[in-house]
Amino acid sequence: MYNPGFKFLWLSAKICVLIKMDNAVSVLNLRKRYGEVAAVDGVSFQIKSGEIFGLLGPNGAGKTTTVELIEGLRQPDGGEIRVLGVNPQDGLGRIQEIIGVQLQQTTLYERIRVKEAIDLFGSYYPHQLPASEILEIVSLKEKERSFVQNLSGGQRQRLALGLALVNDPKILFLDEPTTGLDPQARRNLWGVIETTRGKGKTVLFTTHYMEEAERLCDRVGIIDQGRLIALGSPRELIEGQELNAAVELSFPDGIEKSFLESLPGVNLVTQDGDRFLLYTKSPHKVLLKLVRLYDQGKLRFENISVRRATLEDVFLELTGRRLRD
Amino acid sequence: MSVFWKQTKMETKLFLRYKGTLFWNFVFPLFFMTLFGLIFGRDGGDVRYIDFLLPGMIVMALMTTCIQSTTISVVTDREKGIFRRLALTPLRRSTFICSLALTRYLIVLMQTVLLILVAMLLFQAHIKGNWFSFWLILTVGMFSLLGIGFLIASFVRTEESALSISMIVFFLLMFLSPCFWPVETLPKFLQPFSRTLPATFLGQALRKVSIEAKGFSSFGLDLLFLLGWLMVCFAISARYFKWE
Repeated sequence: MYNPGFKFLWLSAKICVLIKMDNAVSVLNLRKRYGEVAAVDGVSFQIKSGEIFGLLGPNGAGKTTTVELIEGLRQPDGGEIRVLGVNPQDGLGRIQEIIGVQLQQTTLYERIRVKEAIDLFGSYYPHQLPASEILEIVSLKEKERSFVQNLSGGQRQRLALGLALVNDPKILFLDEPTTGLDPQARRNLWGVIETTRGKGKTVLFTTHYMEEAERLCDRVGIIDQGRLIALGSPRELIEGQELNAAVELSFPDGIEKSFLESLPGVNLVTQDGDRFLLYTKSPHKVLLKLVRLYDQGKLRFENISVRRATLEDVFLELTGRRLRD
Repeated sequence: MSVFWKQTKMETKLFLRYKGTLFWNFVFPLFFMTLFGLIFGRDGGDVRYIDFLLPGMIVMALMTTCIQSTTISVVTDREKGIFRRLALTPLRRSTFICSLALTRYLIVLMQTVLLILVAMLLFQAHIKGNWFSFWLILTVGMFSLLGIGFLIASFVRTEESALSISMIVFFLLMFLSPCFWPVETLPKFLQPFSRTLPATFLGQALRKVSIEAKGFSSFGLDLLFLLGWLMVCFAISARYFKWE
């Protein structure tokens, strides 16, 4: 019993639900200029509820501006933003109650104690988590009586994260939360992000560490020069570019790039100094060919390694540049 | 309401935690009052110098709190991005401003009580007039000096310039208004200028009460001028004050 009318209704209901309910954040054709520079130039994406979404890109790509537009800190020149269905520019205070934000740099009063800061920020919200719980999450229990001015950089950053969590937010925005952290602190932060997702919350964070994004994110958007150049799950992006594996090596006698490109199975060749990267779906074929050529004395190479392709490779392919230039 | 009180309590604590503030806002006026009191305390005919000096020192203490400290803390917090961080919380700006003003008011009350106590115990100073009038003038005066603080903070961008500009304004007001000496002792050409300053209205109104024991009919006009200053300062600040 096929009824096209029924199917149409069902589909539109589904679309409505997708747009209205399932998206924690939706951004459409967002634009922001600073003088002559288009910091954000027509960016569109959606973040589903409960998702960890990473915004990646090199410094100055427009990540921070995008995030601050969504938070309502800045006013867009064009485009639409909805945070849980609300435009952050209207209904002042409504968005602020349900989001938690860690800015790229958070400065606090120097002479406030850690616990006092958490209590103070907590008092701004109708719902707040107990200070002891926050101190636990960001491991600052033993520092609760210290003045902010006496905290190390990493501890300050943890406090900033604690303040972002103080209202038990539905959406957590973290702007480069791991920049400048030591490996241990980075791991702790990853733990916090994963726990936050475990509670069904949405996380939007920016980073220029690709491996971090690959590990944590359900989906990523890669942004460069104010434009979104890729969007999807890390796996999708890597596989979509047919970059499954990368053979990295150098040739002491030099080599023609076109020769490498002509090798069977090689999808893409990039060069970084004297290092060449051959992307392929079948690394064994490429290796076999290279080894044969070596054996026949037709080619000399060294420092060869094979690895799985990463988001870094996707970025490199899309822009021709490394992330941390 | 609880947000407002918590914010005020924290602001007051933070205010009192800085050694620099404690020095400029409490030690500095006390030091000057004691010094000038010891040197000139016994001078004067009908009016003892200490009775003249006490309201002047209260005005000076008010100026450190309302102009210097306020300008510097507002500009510093803005420059450091604390206002930006607060903008991401549901804390309303009006709540923030009111608690900032109340904090300054509490500090001013502490300073005044301290100065009056020391002046009475050490130099047997007198406040002859009505205490309520004295308090009323103090309150209106404090808000109008706070207006000057906000006015400066509306136009100054960096901590460094806040420091120097508020210092200049503070010293100008201190020497041009009757903190240490009557307006009449200033050079003739400065007197008309001096008579328009809020610190002058405040000083002379306080003295009308504390020395001459006069009533509202006498200092009412001074209050009106102070309110005028207050409104002008806040009108300009409301137009030009930037949160970022």
